[in-house]
Amino acid sequence: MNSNSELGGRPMDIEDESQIVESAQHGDMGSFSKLYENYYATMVWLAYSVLKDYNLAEDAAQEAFACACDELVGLRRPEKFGSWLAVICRNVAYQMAKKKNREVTVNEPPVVLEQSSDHSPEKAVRQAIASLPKMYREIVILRYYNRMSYEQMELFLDIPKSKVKGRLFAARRKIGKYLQSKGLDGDD
Amino acid sequence: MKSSKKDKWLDQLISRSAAADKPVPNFDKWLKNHPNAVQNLKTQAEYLRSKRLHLRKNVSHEPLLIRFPQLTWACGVAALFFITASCTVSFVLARKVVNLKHELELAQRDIAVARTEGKLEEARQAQQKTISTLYHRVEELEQRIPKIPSAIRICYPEEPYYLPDMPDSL
Repeated sequence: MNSNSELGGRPMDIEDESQIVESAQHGDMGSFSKLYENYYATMVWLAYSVLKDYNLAEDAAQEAFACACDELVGLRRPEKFGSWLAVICRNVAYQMAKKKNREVTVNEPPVVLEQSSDHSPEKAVRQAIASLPKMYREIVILRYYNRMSYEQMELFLDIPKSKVKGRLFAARRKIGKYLQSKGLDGDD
Repeated sequence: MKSSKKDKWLDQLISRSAAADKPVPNFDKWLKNHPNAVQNLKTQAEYLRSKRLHLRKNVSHEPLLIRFPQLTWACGVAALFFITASCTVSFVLARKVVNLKHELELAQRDIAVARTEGKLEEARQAQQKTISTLYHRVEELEQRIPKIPSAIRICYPEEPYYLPDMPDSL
């Protein structure tokens, strides 16, 4: 079977991962630490795609693992651990985003993200990514920030590979258009 | 600019902009920050283990047929087959018994008729025997009859043996 994840740790087969999840379900913290190490980076980037804040994303990832630890015994399909964890992480990130928005509106005026005097193409790309709809932003961040393959994304997001490719293609076009609107089209 | 070249440029640009430090996991720190979650996991795992053990114990007390549904089905089918076969055999045997009873009655009647006929034959034979015996007797007697007068003459006196006029003649 293909490698399911090299998500920050060593490669792990689905079967291996299922066994690890099962032993974690039996209360083995060593197994849980392996899962934590393998999925931590992915969770951080997934939360970042929602929150657009690295520090908050790290908190969200940690909180997601805490929730997963609470609910792990109830997981019926250990082979789907990755996508199950992704759902938890997304929910935690959305809750944190809501809380953050509420705090921003109450306490201070909204701040435009990634706003600076730096006009480098990289900065523009980051802004373009931040302006993408969340569905595209998530896939771009997982692909470019977390360096996941199509197969890994297929398993992790629990969607077909064709859909992954389609979304990524659409996201790239949107980024290209954004850059073009900023005067960056790759001709220079 | 060609589309493929532009795509490549865009791809490179996105990769360059995404070049960030990889998030470093620190499990020990996470453990320290979330002791309740770890405790919950251990408690739930322990509960699940005890529940499974309890279920396994209960399983051993269950009747065999509940534990093995396939066996139950097989037994049910076998029982149904056995009942059907028994009913069929009973029906066939019952009909045979009725036929045999009828045959027995007929045989008994035949025997009764035969016995009556035998008795009649015996009676006829006995009758014929008697008739022939009587016939011989009659013949014998008829042969004896002519000799009697002479005998009378020899035995009896010439004078009357009893005279009513003479009561003391005896």
